[in-house]
Amino acid sequence: MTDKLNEQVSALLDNELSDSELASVLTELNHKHDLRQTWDRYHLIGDVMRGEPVQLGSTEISDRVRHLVDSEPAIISRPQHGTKGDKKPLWTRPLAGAALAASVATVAVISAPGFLGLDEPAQPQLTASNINTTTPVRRQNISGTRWKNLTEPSLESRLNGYLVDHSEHASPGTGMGVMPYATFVGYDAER
Amino acid sequence: MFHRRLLIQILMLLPMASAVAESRNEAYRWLEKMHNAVQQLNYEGTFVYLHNQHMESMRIIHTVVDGVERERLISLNGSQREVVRKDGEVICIQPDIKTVLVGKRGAKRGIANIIPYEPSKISAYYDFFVHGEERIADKRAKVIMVIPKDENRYGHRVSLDMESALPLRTDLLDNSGKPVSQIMFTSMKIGPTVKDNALELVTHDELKNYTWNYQKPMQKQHPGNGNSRSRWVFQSLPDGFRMSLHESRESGSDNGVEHFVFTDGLATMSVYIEKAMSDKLFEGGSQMGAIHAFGTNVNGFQITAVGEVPAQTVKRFAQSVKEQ
Repeated sequence: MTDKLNEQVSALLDNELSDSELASVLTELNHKHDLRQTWDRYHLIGDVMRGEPVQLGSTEISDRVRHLVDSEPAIISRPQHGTKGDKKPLWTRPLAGAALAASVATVAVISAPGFLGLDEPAQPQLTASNINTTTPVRRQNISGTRWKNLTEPSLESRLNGYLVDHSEHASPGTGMGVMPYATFVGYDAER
Repeated sequence: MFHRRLLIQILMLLPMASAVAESRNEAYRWLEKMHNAVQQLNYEGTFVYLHNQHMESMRIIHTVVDGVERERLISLNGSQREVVRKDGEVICIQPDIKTVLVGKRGAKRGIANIIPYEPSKISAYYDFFVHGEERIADKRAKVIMVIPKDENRYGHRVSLDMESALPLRTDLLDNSGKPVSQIMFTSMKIGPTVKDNALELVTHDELKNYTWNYQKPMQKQHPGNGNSRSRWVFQSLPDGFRMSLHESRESGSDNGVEHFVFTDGLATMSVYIEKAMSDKLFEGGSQMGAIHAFGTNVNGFQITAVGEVPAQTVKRFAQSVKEQ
């Protein structure tokens, strides 16, 4: 299958095809098994990326992702700065990243569907830290989070996400480009 | 107030007004050089990070290949946390909670994406001075002071390598002049010989058992063009902060996230707004290192302000949010 078709499928996913392209891709989709698979995979990646957070837990997904990664390294290495300016689908850049992530995720999901079990917070100091008690508890040795006054792991996770997003915009002119990440990587609360 | 006092002290050291101006200009030039160096050079170094009597050591590897930046930050003590930042993606590995967070950037992070460094705008809110020289990581360094004119932002004391202008030491100072956090390199290698041979993230055995969280990329909205699609307004923000970015991430249902970035040209802060999940609210202040966060709720929405600014500033931002 050609890269062009791959890109068109990805563009199709984003509704970015012109009518004529649409017709031809749909025809191809009808006739080509592997193109349909591509479509499936792109949808899968889309699903993965839309969820926030997503836990990849099923062997089915793992098999499919592994298949994707094994069978189509081309997606991973798709040039990110190639065909510029034309109808390059917005998807391609995230997609390249997604496929790379998927390749790692494959490793992650194959062996164990990693449930993140969380301890009940010791002393919620902020309001509304209601823990989901149905979550199986598996992890030990965590009391509280790395954020001060914050004991709810899901909130920590969200704040971490915010911080990572935010860090992308911190001005490197201040040397601060490093600082938020350093905080994230290095800061160990007393525990 | 610290900054006034310090300012006066520094001024007293400088015999003439022209010397003050010269010192300021020189400081500008150094900061501009730093701005470019941090992004454009290849470097690898080990630094200590000090905050609140916590001390960490970390390694950073920054490379630019074909114009694409890649950066890894690895914790050298405790849990081996790691952040890999590369074109369009940020991967945060947290072995202590067996979690990997993969952040997607909607666009390549390049010069154009970065908040422009504008000395002229910054000078309204900060004073700049060259404050001597020192030796750090066996290199000669120029010390630059950046002192805020009010209490809504932190001050900086940065020591820049005289050759490369890379920051060998960065102190973030609170309003009383006390360091909030300090980063100091103990060794630094600079130049094209620095290579990042270790993208073997994938081979990280432990990662098998980790939970992987993926973030959907943000879509850029355009700030400042009158008919912004946001339903939110910010009232009475601290002086000098203006919106530099507005982006949003849509989710399948109605709980997308809106992200606003504000900057005074130097300090950066973010406000996130998303539909509140009734059982998971964040209200009040929190802190991690020099980062402060503050959460409030408005009409069923979770407002979270986060940034490297004093606690009062994140609070003010969070509380400034009103629905239109």
